[in-house]
Amino acid sequence: MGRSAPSRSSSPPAGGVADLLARFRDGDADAFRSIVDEYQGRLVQFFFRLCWDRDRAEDLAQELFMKLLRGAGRYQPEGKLSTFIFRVATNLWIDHYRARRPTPRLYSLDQVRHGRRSDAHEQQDAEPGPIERAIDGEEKQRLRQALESLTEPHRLVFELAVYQELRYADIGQVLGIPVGTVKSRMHNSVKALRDVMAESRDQGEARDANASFRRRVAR
Amino acid sequence: MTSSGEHARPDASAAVDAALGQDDQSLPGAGAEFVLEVAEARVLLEDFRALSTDPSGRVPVAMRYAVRRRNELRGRRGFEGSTWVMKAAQVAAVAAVVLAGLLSWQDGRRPRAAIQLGPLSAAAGGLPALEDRVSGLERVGSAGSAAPLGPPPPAERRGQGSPRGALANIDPFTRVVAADRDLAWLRLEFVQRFSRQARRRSIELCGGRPDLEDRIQALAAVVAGRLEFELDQGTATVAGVALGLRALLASGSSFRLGHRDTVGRANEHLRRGLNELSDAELATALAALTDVAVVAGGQAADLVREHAERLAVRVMAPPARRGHHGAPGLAPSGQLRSALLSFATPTGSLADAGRVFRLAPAFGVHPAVAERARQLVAAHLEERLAAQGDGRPDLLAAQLYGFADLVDRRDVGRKLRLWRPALLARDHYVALHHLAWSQLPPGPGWAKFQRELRELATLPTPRDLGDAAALLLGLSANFAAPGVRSVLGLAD
Repeated sequence: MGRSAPSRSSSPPAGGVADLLARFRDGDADAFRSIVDEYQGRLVQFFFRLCWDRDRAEDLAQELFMKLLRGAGRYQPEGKLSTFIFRVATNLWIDHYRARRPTPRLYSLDQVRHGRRSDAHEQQDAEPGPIERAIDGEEKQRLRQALESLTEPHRLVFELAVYQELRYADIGQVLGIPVGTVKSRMHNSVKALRDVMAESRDQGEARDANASFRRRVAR
Repeated sequence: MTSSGEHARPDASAAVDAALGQDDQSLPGAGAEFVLEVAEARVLLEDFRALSTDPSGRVPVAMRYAVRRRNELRGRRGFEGSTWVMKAAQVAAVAAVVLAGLLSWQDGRRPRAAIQLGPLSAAAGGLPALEDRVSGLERVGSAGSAAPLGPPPPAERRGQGSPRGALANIDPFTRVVAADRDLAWLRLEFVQRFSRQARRRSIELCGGRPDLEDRIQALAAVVAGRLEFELDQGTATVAGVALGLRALLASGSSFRLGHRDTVGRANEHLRRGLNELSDAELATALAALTDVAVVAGGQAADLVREHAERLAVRVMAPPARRGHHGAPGLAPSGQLRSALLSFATPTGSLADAGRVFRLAPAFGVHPAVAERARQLVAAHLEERLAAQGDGRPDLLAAQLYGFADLVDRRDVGRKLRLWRPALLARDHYVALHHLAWSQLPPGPGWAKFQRELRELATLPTPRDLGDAAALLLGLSANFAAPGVRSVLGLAD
């Protein structure tokens, strides 16, 4: 239906691609190159949208590949490789996120958005610099802030469903939660994002109106 | 709204599923309102899909490198265990090394042995802190006159995971193999550095702009000019000449851009004065001559072997002084310590010593001698960190540069986290060089560090020759980006 999803992960890739890691484990060095070629872009984007820092995203992607490299000897194929890789990626991100968080998380698992804005900006490095702000443009800023307003569990579901185009069932496997929970998190995330975008647009309009009023008064 | 107390409408949820392609059945035959809802959801999701970044392309490069290294290790393991002949040869080689160690140990017990390896207890007699760090970790040979050479430590002392555990682990055979491997990689890196095309390609692969190469070569010209000037005037210091020589080699400009004569002159200057240098200067000079030997081999390698061994022996057994009671070779209490291990030695010299001793077995220095000397220097660095605060970037960078395999990289990296290249470039150019040359691509923070390093290309050239050369060495780290070798096929 509708959108073209060239590499939707629901269907097992042809030609035994799903067993690339197993092939590498068995001594095929080229298989790992194929894994890197196939996943590095997706993983960098995955981490980037979680931390908003390309360099850190690339470091995390490298760390993930190193984990695969080191752990390949113990790898036992169970299901799809993409599910396995994103499970490792998610765990890596959670470890990284927890290690950097100065305070324990203060939201319930059902909570969709952060209560305080500062919660979304706990990671000082994630704050975009002035150059990035200028380049991004206002609309991207709004989208970015909306995404940041989601709590981590919802953000991960949104990332895996929207950007990585995983099936709900696969997301459930990656995150270790039931499919029903995946669905409700996804739906609530979309609703929350709509709300944030609407709020943001209203604020923008109010700001514009205020600025125009001030200009008129100044004249 | 801060929580998900209110849930999405069922229609809206189904629309999201349909927009994501998760539910392909609900759309056909659906009403116009639902179709509109799906379209709206799709627009929203497409808006969010615009949030992405342009990967630098560094990840695949780094991973190719990592895979190559892993395959090498695999290959070596396979080779080692391939046939019983190889196993027998390996056992014989280890036995020979152990035997040589035992013989040297016997020699060390006699006064004025052919190789002046003073007992460790004498070397560290007045230095309890140092002795604690080294002899407490590893007691080679019997108690009493603990000898510097001998069989590997007992198995239970090995691999304790801490720096101290690492210090306890001397395996001469492994050291020779490691030194040979490092030398081979370094040589390949220099081959790569001498090709202008390869340099540009390396920079691009690391995510840099190719015109960084122009800045680096301009800086190399300045360094060469100052080096010539100081040699002409007779004002050149050993550190300045050594760093200048190494920087010109690292920048790859020594052959193609007319700096060959300068390199030759600096090399000759260092060679001539080797016998008169202090231990600290000798370490620094040898670091430069080691680079020359990596490139040139032959006589240059012999020179490195001779003087690296001399330095190692001096580190372990400082020149015996006549004691208060006139007994030759006895240490006056609390006095004897190698000059290199004094607190007055510049940190750069300690780092250089670490590098020289690590590579020395590849030039023929006895691996146990080189390793023991390196451990003493590493222990002294730890001693300095304990005494002078463990946040000093120059000491930490020196640890990573010369002794990365003896320290906990992650821990040192954590302490150095706040020392970004731009901060180091103010007062610590040499530390910057050490840090730049000790980064490995699959490590956390590598990508960011490389980018910040490249940004230093916009800095004005430092006035001091040593600082300018250290900056050049730092910027030239981009040329030897690990992984580039495999991309260019140089290592094949």
